[in-house]
Amino acid sequence: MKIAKTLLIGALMSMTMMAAATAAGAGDIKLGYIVIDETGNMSVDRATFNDYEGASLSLENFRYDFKNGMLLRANLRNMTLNNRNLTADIGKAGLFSLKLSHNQFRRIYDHHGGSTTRRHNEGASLSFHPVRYVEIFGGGTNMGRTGSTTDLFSPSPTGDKVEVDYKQYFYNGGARITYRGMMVVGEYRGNQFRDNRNVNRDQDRTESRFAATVPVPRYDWIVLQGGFRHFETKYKKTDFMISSNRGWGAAAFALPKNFSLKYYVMIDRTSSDSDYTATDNLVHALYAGFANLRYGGVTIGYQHDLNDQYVKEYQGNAFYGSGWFKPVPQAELRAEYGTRAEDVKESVRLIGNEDINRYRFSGKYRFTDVGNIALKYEGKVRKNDDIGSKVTLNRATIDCGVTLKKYATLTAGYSYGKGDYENSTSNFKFTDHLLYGDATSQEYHRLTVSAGATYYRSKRDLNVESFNIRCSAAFRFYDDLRLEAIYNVHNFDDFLVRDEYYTANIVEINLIKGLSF
Amino acid sequence: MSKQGSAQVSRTLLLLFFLIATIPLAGASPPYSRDVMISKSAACLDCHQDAADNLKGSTHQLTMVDDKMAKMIVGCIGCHAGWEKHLENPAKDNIVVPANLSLPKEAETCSGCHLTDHQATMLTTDPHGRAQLTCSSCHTVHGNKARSLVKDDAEDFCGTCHTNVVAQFKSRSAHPLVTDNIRCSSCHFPDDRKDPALARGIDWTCQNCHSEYSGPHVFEHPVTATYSFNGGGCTECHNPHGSPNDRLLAQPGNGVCLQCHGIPAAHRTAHSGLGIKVDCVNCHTDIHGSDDNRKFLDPQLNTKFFADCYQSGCHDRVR
Repeated sequence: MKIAKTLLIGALMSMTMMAAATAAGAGDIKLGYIVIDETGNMSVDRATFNDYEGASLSLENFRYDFKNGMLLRANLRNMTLNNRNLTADIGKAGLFSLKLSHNQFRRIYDHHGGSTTRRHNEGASLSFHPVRYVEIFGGGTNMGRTGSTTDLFSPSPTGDKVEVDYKQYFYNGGARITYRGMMVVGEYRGNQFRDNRNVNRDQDRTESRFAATVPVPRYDWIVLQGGFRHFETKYKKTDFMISSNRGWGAAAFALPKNFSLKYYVMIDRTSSDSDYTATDNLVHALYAGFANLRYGGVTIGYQHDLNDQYVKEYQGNAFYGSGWFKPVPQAELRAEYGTRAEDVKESVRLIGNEDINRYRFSGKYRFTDVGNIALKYEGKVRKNDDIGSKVTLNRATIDCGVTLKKYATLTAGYSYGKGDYENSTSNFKFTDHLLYGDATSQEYHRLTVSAGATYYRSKRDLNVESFNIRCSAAFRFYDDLRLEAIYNVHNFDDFLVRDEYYTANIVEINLIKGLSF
Repeated sequence: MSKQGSAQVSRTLLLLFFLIATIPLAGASPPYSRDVMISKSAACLDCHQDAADNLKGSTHQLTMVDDKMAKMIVGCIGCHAGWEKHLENPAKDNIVVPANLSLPKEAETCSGCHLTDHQATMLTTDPHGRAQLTCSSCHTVHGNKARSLVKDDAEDFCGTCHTNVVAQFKSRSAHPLVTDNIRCSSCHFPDDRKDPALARGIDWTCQNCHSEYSGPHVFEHPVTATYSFNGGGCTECHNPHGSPNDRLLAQPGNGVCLQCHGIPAAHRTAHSGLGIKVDCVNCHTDIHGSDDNRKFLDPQLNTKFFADCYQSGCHDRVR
């Protein structure tokens, strides 16, 4: 982990120095200190899980444009703290790209923060074009998690701790050939999971895939696609394995008068050593659309799929319809509806037949130079009549942004979510309210201020409240030096559980030097 | 279905793939030569110098004559078809602006240079394409220096349309999107996976970070091993974007179990009847799958609950 961090910062510094003789760059160096005062149960407010107290050093929104079109970018946040989040990339469009990243995340599981896990993630990816039409790409990621968790439903009042210590390594490599609307890609991906506490869980996963997209010669309004994938997961100790082979094909027809037609088919066989059987999936889908770019469009579709296991088989039939309408250029209305019925054709399955209905409606309006307003509503109903189970989820959100050019920008929104889970022997109901808003002033006498808040309330079977109030002020001393103060309050209360409350006051002071060279 | 014939299916699929991949490219005309691209684009700049300025520093920065490193030649005429007429008669309506085209036509323009899995699936299986969104719905070319030329460089760009999902991420428990430890594209990656939500499915999406729960297990919990294109797997019990319950669980306590299972009669009278709240997973700890027993019971159950289960006299015969 330290090596990765050192390499990332070292690479960035050397690239910056290399570039120093030419072109232009910009970014912010931020030196700060964070103070956290918190009381209550540290495991309940996820927003502060990854906050640390101490001195911080960051390089934010760094960008260096080389004269020859190469570009170096970096965001190195909190390099000195355990929540560091570092990304950097250098590249030239159409020639090469190198990306490096590292971040850490802490999750707290008990009242005093004694039971925690920390994830870290280091990644690198490289792609380059040896010739214009060929891209070679590859990369690797090292991910690890250590610490201890607490059983969620432990009967022990203090909770039973479960030690965690594992690593995952990912790697991939492949090549892509593109030429005038045609593409052929081949890629190999691998993943190793190594559990330091239980080697029986060590496993290796691999995937090989090929895909192609080809416009039909002389009929370039028809595009054909197809691909094949082989995937397997194998337990290292026992050679226990899941494997799957999947093939798919698709065709897109751009018909006259802005009509279009799409068809795709997929076939997949997944086998597992655990049940000595295989599951076959077969999917066909057909979509037809019409679009008038000025006013709107519609799409209708049908999908049929088959899931065939050793003794049982079920089939799904799904219908889809969507449309959009622009009464005036500034406004857009969208609606989408999908329904799916899964019928068990052979034998039985525990959840029986299933019906799913899903719908979405949204509307957006942009006021020229002033702002925008968006409304969205979506609902989902899933019914399994054979076992007396029904899930109904609804959510509506209104979101708006206002720009008062001389004074400030404002954003605000409200979201309402409602869920009803009806089981045969129990029910669960919740209603969520989320209210949020932020205001940021324009600079006035070298001073910029901002304030905002998020309020969350979950009711009915739950009784949870949490909020975050944030405000900041930044004063610009010279053209490129700013002093910034940020104050955050986090509060969480679960009124049904005595122990579950939390309050944190977080103050952050930053001195920011704007770079421009 | 038995496994017999699996190899045959694989061979057939592989053959089909190569048949499609090897369709000859007769009729595809080559792109403009470097000299034509640079000289004709230079003519555009006589009137549209602002376009050159606002492309500077972006991935579409116009290729310069002395740029020997350039493998990809970027110039105005690469995207704006009809430029020949426009050079003769510079009117607004005699040149193609790709952002004003329908998806198939705009994609045809963009795919001259950009054709990854993302661009390819927009034409067929991608829900954004299905809803008739175009390349320009998310990307702008001129005056944009953002990563991948998305309209807004903010990490939560997807949230500008998916406001409902953003709200879910502010629920009691959610993946750490707000701290930028993961991004939408960490799970929703438009590669060759073709399921409706663009996630890679049970075999990669969740296992990328949570391999400790993944199979194969000697005794699978069928719901976690639903090898289906539509739903199933982890999302039957967890709401990945956010939940009012801890650990992304759709329902608290025994609710997630009870959506499929009834409580066995003996459990109802004994465990709950004693006034002790016993959750299913107190004993069925290996609920994601077990290598030890088919009821997913804790392998250490005997020692863990020695006093509760056995010394109490309830299960002394079982011992």
